[in-house]
Amino acid sequence: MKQTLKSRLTKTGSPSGMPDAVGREGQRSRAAIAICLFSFCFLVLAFRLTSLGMSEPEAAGWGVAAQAALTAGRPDILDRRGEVLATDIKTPSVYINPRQIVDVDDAVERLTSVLPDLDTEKLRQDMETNRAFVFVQREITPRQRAMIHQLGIPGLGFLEENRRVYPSAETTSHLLGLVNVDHEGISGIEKYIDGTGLSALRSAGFTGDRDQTPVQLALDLRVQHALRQELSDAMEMFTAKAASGVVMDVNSGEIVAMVSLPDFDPYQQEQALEDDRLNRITSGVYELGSVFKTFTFAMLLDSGLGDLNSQFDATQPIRIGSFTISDFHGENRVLSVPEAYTKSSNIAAARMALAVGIDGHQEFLRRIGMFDRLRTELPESAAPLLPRNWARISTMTIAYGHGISVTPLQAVTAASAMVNGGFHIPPTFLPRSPLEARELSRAVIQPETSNQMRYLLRLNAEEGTGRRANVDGYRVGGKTGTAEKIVDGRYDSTRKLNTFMGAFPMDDPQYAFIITIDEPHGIAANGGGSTAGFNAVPTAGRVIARIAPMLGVTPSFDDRNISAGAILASF
Amino acid sequence: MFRFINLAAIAITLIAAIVLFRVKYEATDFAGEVAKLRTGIASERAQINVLKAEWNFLNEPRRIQRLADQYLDLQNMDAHQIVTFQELSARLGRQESIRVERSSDEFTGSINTPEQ
Repeated sequence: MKQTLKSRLTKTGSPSGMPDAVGREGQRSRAAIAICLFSFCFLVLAFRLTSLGMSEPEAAGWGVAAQAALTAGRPDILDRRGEVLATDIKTPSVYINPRQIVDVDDAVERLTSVLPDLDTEKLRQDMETNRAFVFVQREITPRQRAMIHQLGIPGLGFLEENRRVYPSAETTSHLLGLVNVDHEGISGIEKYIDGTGLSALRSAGFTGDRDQTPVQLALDLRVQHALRQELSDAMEMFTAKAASGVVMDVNSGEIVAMVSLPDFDPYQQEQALEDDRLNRITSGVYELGSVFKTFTFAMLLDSGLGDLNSQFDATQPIRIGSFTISDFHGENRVLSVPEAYTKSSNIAAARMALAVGIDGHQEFLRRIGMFDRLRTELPESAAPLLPRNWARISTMTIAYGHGISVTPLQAVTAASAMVNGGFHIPPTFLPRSPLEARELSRAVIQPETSNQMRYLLRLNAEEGTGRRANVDGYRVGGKTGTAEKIVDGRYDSTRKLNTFMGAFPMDDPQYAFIITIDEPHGIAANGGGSTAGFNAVPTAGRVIARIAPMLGVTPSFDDRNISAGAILASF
Repeated sequence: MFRFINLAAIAITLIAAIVLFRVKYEATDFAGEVAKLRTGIASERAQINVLKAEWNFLNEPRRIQRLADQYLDLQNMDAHQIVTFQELSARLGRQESIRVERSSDEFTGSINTPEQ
């Protein structure tokens, strides 16, 4: 450009007179300098404009950053049918920027007209500080927010904060766990969700919006509620210390319901720390007593050392040193395997375990997962307590459930394996199909043994200690356990942990369950007994009667002849 | 000739400037509207979420049960209340063929009445 200008000037310039020529030369160079200068200025302007036009508008100031941090969202948690178990609700909080407050007295007065609970002295002090941000009140209602907005006080603003809400409160509190003030999971499924990459997302700042995929659980809220209500009724009826129950799908390993009472209110987090309110299903280990005979019998049948027709001598108690193993329902005769099961004979169970031997016993218990800490999605878990020196006496007592402490979840997982054809499936709180479960499973007993166990469990509910759980139509099978608790190193016959463990429907098992009631008392209404048959069993019966229709278990009545006219009476 | 070109150029520049000015303001207006709508959507979403949570509070099984116990004369379902289609045909006392099909989770049934 400069070049062309120069040449043009040269062409049009006058060829005459030196002084004239010199003057023109000076004008030309001055013009050139001016042109250069202006061109440069315009270029700079153009460049700056382009760069401004290209850049994204910058998020303004600290308020927005604080907002982003506070609204870090968590995914909703749904039950298997899509009911919301946990969600985020945005609640406004009001803050002030004291530097922008013009008239402190006026602002205090007007704010307290909407929020009368405010401490005026503190508010005044806050307004006179030189900070840029002070919360006035957190979690106000949308209505209050609108009213404060109407006041039009300068230097006042709102932040939206996420609050975690649990519509079903106590019913699901153990399972879902809790979040802390920073909205991070600290227990239960909430913590599991953080572990799956949410915390990484959060630190990268990607969790501001709430379009996160909800987390679906295997839990069925209706079943959970029914289980909890029956357990809490039972706790009250038998003035028990605690109660717990879990229902597991035997083919997929899904936990459909899990309740441990006393539970806690998710809005009163300090409750969750009380010892008494721990999740007994996953983090408590117990000597489960006679329910363990189920595993002893399965071990015997699976080892081939005995079959259903084998006989075991229970004529007299077994004495080892100062220790005596005797039967609660003492028959004092030789018992067949089914008899020993329905009479819950300690002596026969001890003899069975001895027949298999210590090594075989240990190997079997390890196979069905009794030796290892059972880990699930829940961060809470407990390792089983095993005898330090496994002697003959250990094998004999463990045969009937004393001397080993496991979590109820371990027991129910093993119980599933007893009835589902022999597959030990790791339990899960997330949805899983039977096919996926099959790939994760281990065959621990033969299908034939599993059939025999179904027969024994069903028999026990028909004519043994589990009679009171025999819900019409649902073919319940199960084994009772009445375990004396250890108090100060000795078994205390007045404190019992009563258990009923089983599955239904026994002709095609779909769900396994375990119900425990801690330190129940006898009541006159059912004869005053305090063994499991009087409390854990009828409770299980009531639970099954309620949940089986929800779970879609088809009822069938063996004694009901479908083509006969007699059934018409039952419509 | 030059004058004409200059005038035309000035006119075009003016028109372009005016158009640009208007487009710019229009764009600003639209941007404002977009922002407003976005805020609106966000607040509607938050509102929906609050309502959903409230819905779940109101439908919480424990609450429903309490209300049902108080106001309704309902009982827990009994297994005897569940019947199969085969049993239904026995009750109807006729020879209809009853077909039940299951596709994924839905049961569908049909009753074919034989021609009389």
